[in-house]
Amino acid sequence: MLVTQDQARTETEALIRRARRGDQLALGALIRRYQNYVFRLCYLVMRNEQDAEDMTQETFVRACRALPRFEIREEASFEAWLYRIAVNCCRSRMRRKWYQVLPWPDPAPQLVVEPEEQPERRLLRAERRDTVMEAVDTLGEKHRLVVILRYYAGLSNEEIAHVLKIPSGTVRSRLHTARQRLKELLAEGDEEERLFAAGGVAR
Amino acid sequence: MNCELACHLFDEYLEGQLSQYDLRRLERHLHGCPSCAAELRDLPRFERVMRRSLVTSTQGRMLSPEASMRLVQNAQTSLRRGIWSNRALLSLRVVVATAALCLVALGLYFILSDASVSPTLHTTVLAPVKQLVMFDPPPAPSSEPTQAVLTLQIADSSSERRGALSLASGDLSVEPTPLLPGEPFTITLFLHSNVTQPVDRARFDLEVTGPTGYYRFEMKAKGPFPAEGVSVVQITPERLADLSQEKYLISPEEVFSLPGVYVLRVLLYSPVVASTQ
Repeated sequence: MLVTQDQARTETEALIRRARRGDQLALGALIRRYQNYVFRLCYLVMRNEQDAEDMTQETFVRACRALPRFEIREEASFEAWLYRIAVNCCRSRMRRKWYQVLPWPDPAPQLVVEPEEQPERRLLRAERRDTVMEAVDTLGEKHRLVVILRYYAGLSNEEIAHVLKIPSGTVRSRLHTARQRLKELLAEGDEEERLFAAGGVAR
Repeated sequence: MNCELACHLFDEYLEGQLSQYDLRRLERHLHGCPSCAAELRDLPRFERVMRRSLVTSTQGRMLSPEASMRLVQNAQTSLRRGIWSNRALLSLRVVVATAALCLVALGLYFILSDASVSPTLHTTVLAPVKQLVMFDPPPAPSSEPTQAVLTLQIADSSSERRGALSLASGDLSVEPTPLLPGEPFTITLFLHSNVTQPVDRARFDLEVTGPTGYYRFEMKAKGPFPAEGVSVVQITPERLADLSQEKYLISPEEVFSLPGVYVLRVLLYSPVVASTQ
């Protein structure tokens, strides 16, 4: 069954209202709806599953403690609120001295692919994905977070500004810098990547 | 508009979020800048690749069922705490708001009623401490009230006789006799004047020593007291009331509330003689 964005939002709001009244089933449904989104976001930021799982736990513990005070408004997105908590959790963990950023692990064990996709094309996509992720890996934390929130979480520049507590002009600037850097890195790849980056760097 | 600023507006341009002013400026720049135009043209493709790469790199990764179960349990505990702390916060706000409202109402009451702190308030606050220190605790009341016996004693009048007024032993009486505890009474003084001029005011102290403690009432009797005659001064509970309540925080009836022997003593001071016309 197809669910529109508005329907999903209405359902989420209903679950939040019920959970705030102490409905444990609604809380369970709300968590199941978002746990893997948050887990993957944490995974992208932390780069290993154990830390991502810890940060997901921490995110939901903090979110549930603050849930009675979360204001359901037209412009306030629950997802953005959750992502904000998740990013804050990850950043506090990364700020610890002992924390070391690890290189990207092997691709996910259960990679879902489109059935009609040609094997060559699938391989090309996988290679490109690895190239892109390696390029993202080279970005500094500030730029990496903006890229992840923009292209994984699908947040607007204003929402990213809200999540990271920075001005939206700074978000635009970081995003622009990150894109330039990624295009440069990807342009160093094979011919397909060169074609892909043909737009070049704006001067 | 330079290239960097133009690039900063690409996202809003593609999302249709630009204001008319920025839209006109950007389009003017794009007409004259093929580099920015090419970058804008390639941006949707770049974004598709980025989105696909980031999403597929995490696709299939999910929390294990055990971790998911643990997450729900922790979240439930956390939510319960959140609900309780939120309720506590709300209650605290209500209490603070009520207290603030009461303070405001009290302030308004004082302002509107023009109430000021009376000087007697200080006496009221301070006196009980002295009172408690000064007196023994009253004994438990007996079921059968016994009669109070009042023994009268007059101060040695020899020293006081040099004044214009004098008082003898028989000049002090209490009615009714015997006096029951808590019963209204009248103390009568017969003041003898031995001067040829009328006396304007007389000042004397009435001391009471009995089972309830020691009390000293400073009293004034307003004349005129006739020359070479006898004047009658009557002291009733009402007359003692102001003094006793203000000074000792006790009613005159309570001064004689316990059965026993009470010693009354009157000390006369030099009277004020009216000036000769």
